[in-house]
Amino acid sequence: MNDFQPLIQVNNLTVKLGRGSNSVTAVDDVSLVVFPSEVVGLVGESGCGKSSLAKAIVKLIATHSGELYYKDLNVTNLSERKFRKIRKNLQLVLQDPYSALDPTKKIKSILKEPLKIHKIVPRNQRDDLIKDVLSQVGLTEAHLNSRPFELSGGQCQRVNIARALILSPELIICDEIVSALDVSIQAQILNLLKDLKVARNLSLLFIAHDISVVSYLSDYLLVMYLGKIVEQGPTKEVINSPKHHYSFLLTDSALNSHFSNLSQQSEVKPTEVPSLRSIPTGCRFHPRCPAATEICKEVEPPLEKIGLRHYVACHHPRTITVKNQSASENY
Amino acid sequence: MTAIKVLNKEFATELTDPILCIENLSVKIKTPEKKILPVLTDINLDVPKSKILGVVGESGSGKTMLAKTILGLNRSQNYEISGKVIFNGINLLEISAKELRKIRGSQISMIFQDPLSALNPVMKVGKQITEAILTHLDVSKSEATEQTFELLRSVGIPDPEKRFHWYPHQLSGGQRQRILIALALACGPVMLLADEPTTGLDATLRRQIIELIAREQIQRDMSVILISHDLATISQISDYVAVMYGGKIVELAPTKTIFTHPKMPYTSALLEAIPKINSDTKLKSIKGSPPNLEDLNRGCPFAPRCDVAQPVCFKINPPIFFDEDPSHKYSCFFPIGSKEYDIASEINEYKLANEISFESPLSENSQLNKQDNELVKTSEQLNNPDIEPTSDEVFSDE
Repeated sequence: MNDFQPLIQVNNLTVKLGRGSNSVTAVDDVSLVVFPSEVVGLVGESGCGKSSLAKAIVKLIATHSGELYYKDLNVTNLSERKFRKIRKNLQLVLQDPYSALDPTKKIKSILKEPLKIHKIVPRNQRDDLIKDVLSQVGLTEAHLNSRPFELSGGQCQRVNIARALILSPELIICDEIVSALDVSIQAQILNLLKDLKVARNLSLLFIAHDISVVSYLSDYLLVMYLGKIVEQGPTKEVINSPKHHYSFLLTDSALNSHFSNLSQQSEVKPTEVPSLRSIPTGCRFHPRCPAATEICKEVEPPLEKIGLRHYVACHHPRTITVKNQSASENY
Repeated sequence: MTAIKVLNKEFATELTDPILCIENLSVKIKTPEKKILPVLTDINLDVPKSKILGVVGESGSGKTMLAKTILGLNRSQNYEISGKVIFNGINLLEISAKELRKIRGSQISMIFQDPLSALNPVMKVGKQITEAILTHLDVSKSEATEQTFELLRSVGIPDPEKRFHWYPHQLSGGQRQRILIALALACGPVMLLADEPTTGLDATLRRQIIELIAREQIQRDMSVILISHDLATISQISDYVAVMYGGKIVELAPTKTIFTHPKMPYTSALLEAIPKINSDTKLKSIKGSPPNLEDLNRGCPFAPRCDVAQPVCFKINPPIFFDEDPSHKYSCFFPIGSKEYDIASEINEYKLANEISFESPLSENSQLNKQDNELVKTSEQLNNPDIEPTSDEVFSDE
C-alpha cells in the first residue's frame, strides 16, 4: 500500500453526548490522520474527550458532524453491517483489563470469538492461530483454560491485546491501557506494544493521560484540551519545545525529572480543569493560561501550521528556545 | 534473629529524634478459608521528626496496611498484629480504642486515597471539618467555623464561605482532595499519613496537591508519611524513601541516594521501568508480576523476579544491611555495586547463556531438607561474618 495514503483520516469530527439542552460537546471539530505503521499519541486530562474520540473513530458512538475515512473509503455513513468488515482492521483495547473480558469465559473462547465472527481462517486452524498470538503477547498455552479472574491485571491486558491482534488489524486503538497497571507491569506492556508494532507493522492510536507514557511510544503527538486539539506535531518537537501553554503545562507537570526544583513555581495559575458543560469563551485554556490577554477571552484561536506537520491553536504561542537541539534536526 | 533485632535497634538511633518508631511490626490476615496471609513482615521503620518519609511500592506491597496499622484501623479478629508502634512513648498497638481515638485525628491524621468515598456524601463539607474540630479541640461552634474558613483558604479553596455549604459531589476531584487535606489538618496534627493523595488526579493537579502537602508540612512543622506507587511523586518532596515489596521494607535511604545509588535490584529495576519524557532508551521491564501473598516463600520476596537471584535468595529472607553510609539500609544479599552483585550477575548470565536452569527453587523449597539448611546457614555466615548464626526458628516453621 502507498505509504502516503493515510490509514485513517478524521475530518472536523464533532461528537455530542446526551440530548437537547443537556448535551455536551465531547469532541469538537477534531481532525487527525494516522499513516500506516505510525504511532499517534493522544494526550489530555480526564474528561477532555479522548475516549469519545476513540470510540467515534470505530463508530461505536454516533458522530454529530464530520467525516471518517478508512483508506480512501468514506465510512461516515456506512451501515453497521458493512462497517463491521472494516472494524476487523481497526481494533480497540480498553482501559480496565478485567471488565473488558467476559468473566465467565475461558481465555480460549474469548480469543476464539473474533475468529468465529470474522472467519479469517478455516475452523481447523483456529487453535494454531490462538496459540501463535498468545505466545506473541508473552502468555503460554497453560493460560488457555484459565478464566479472567485467575489472571493478574497485566496478564488480562495481554489477553486483551491478543484478542485485538488475532484479526491481524492494521490499527489498534489503545485507550489508557496501562493506567490501571503497576509500574513494573506497565513497562512490560509498553515494551510489548513497541515490539509488536515493529514485528507486525502496526499502526497505533495510543491514548493516555500521562504524557511520558505517550511520548515513549508515539511518533506523532496530539494534545487535547476540552474536546479540542490544541497542539499537534512530531512527538519530539512537542515534548522539547511545546508551543501551546497547555502542552508546556503537561510536560512540566510530568514530574519525571527527579529533583526538579519545587520552589520554581509552575507558571500556570492554579485553577482546575473546567468541565465540558461550562466551556470558557474564546480560547478554552485562557482561564489557566499565564499568557492570556483580552483577545484570548473573545476569539477562539484556529489551529495554525507552524512547522512540518506541527500545528498549534494559540494566539500567543511560546517562543522559548528549543531545549534539545537534536530534536529539531530530525525534521 | 536476635542479631538482626540488635542491628535494627542501632539504626533507630541513627535518625535523630524519630517521632514514630515501628519495631518488628508484622500483620497477618486470617482468611475465611483459615489461611494466614503475611501482609507485613518484620517492619522496622523510624519516622523522623519534621521530615517527609516517602513509602513507595506496587499494589499489594502493604503500603496502605502499614498506614492502617499505625492508626489502628485494622483492629479486628481477622488481623494478627505483633510488634510495636511507638508514638510519643506510647505503644499505639496496646492502648484502648478510646485512647486511640483521642490520638487519631488530633495528633496523627490521615488523607485517604479516594476523596469521594472518604467524605460523607450527605454532609456539607464545611460541617465535616467543623465536626472534627469540635470533637478534638475545646472551642466554640463559631470559632470552629472561623477556623474552617481559614483552613479552606489555606488549602487553596476559592470562596470558602460559599464552598462551606457545598456537598462533596458538587466539588471537582482536586477540590475534594483539598477538602480532605483541610480535614486532616483541622486539629493541627504532628503527624500526617497521606495514602496515595494524588492517585486519580490529573497530572496538572497532582503537582498542585504535592506542593500543597509540602508547603503545609513546612509551615506546620509536621512529620509526613507519604505513600504512593509513583516514584516521581515521592521524589519531589520526601526527605527519606522506604521501598516496600511483598510486605517488607527492602530499602530505606535519603531520597537522593535512592535515586542515584539504589542498592536493591528491585529499586533499580523500578526506576528504570518508568518512562521518562525526553528519553529514547528502551524501558527495562521487570519480568513476572508482583507477588501474591499466598505464594510468598521464606526467601526474599523479590527473588523470583530478580536478575541476580541465587539459590540462597530463595531460601533465606535477607536481613537488613548497611555499608559505609548508615542512613542507607537495604535487604539484599547481592546489593548493586558490591562484589557479590557482580559475581551473582555473572553466574546468572552464564547460566542463561548456557541454558542451565535453576533447579526450580520454589518447588524445591517445600522439600528443603536439613542438610540444605546447614549449607545455607554456613554460606550465609561466610558472606556476612557480622551476623551471628541464626537460630533454628528461621527454618522451624515446617
